[in-house]
Amino acid sequence: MILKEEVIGRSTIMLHITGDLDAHTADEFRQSLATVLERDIRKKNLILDMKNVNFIDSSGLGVILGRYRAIQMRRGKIIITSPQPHVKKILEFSGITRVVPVVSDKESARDLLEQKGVE
Amino acid sequence: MAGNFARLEFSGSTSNLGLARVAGATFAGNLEFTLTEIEEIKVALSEAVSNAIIHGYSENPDGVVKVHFYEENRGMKIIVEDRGCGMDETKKKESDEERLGLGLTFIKAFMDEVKIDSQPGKGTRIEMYKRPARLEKLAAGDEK
Repeated sequence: MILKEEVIGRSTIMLHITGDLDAHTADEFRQSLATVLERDIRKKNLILDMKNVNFIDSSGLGVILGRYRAIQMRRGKIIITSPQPHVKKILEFSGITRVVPVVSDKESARDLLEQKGVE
Repeated sequence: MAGNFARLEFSGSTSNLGLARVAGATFAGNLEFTLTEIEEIKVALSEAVSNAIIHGYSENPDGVVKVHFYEENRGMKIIVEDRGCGMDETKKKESDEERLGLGLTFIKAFMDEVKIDSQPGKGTRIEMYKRPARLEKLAAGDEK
């Protein structure tokens, strides 16, 4: 799994994820999210770019939801962008999309954050 | 004549999850599944193997996970076995919280038939079967 960080505005980090999000990569993914968020407490929004995520199962979902509370306490948002159709299906089936919106691209994510007044 | 089959044995390390998924997808690719159905099989298989590694063996690489694929009635049967600790009701609840309790939900949603045999101290055997939806529709059409 490869993670590339991109800072967007004052309050948002976008992580471009490449690879599989399963039990094998869950620890690394969890640790990376924790590091990114702990480094700067002003960064309260997390955009996860899943364009290059080929696979996700309950382990990967658990890591995302595990950060949800921490982001919520910062009054921020987690948004997922550009999932491949089969990955999107897993996100929708799991119900995670009820609390973590899924949008098509970075601009849509930024628009959503502005609408919510958290950017 | 017996249908196609394949068997995998690997250590209880999560690094083998990708191997199991690729093997399952390749086996399924020889049958009449759509790409969507193959992705569903990969998720169900990944969940079953993750269960064996994480809960059966607590990620002990000395443990052995066995995965069997069988072609059956133009569908695919998958058996995932471990000789780990087996499912204890109390422990099952704790472990469900880590992965949101979704593992078994995905398995039951994506496979047509699921049988789980687990005894504390003796290991777990998950048997799953899926048949291409296209064949079910054809069969239903033939019956009219």
